[in-house]
Amino acid sequence: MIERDDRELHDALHALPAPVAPSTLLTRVMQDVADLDAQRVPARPGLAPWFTWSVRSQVVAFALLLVVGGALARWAPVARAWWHSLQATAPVAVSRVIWDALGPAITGGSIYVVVMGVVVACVTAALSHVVIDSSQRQM
Amino acid sequence: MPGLDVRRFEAFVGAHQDMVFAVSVRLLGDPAEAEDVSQTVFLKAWQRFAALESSDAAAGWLRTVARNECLNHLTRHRLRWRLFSEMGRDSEDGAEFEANLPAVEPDGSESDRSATQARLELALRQLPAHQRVPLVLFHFEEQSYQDIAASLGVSVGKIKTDIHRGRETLRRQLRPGGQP
Repeated sequence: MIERDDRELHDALHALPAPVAPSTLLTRVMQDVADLDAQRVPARPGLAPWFTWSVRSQVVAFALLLVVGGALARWAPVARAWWHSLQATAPVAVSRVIWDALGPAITGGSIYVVVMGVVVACVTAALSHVVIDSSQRQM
Repeated sequence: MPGLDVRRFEAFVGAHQDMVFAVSVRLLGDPAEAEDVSQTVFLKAWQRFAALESSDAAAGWLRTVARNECLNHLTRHRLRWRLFSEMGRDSEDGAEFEANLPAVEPDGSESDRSATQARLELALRQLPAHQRVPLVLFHFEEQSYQDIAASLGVSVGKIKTDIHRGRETLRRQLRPGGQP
């Protein structure tokens, strides 16, 4: 509530001519808008925004894990028999020592886990390298 | 289409730039700083132009953002040198800058009224920020003492005192001759 004493001043303030924006303001704003548009990376049709390179690399790694893992699960007994035959004929004592230590642990599941770890690490590292390289080219 | 959006936004800026600039220059007291803040306000508007364009509350949104940006600007950029630049003013209540304003001889004409308005506008811009900001928020933005105190983070008593002192300074500009 404005008291009577202040009413005159209030009215005088409201009677002041409204400040007019300088002509440069519109130019500056539209230049900023143009700069922002130039920086914007156009969206690729058909790809959702959340489908980033990080997500893509993980999807590919997971798909490889399923395929290679499935194949290993199918062929693990064969691989183990091959390893047994190799061990039996290995002339090097070191390999026998290694086999004695690791042999009981080598099962289809453990082979699967180790190989999948290596595959996922390699695929992720390779894709990350590709992504970083392409982003540096864009800059 | 981006090109069409840009053209519509240009018209949008053209329609509201005077209002945003007026709020900014009265709160900041400096046309250059007001232009910078207005630019920031319209950049924010561009980022949500799709929603703003069809909204009836666009002008209100711009006004609120301009007000908040000005208060943030004052807090960020003036806190550092306020101690040096406004300590003197605090004690003198703006009497020093008032002495530098041009005196106007009253003759009752339109030019006299324009000169009085010019002096009032100048005096308003040159008020110390701690008087000008609450005074502008009260008289132009029509906020209550409580709302002003809350947004500036000071007591209602200080707001009333600062507005009162600012009014006294401005009122002297309305008297014939523009002198106390």
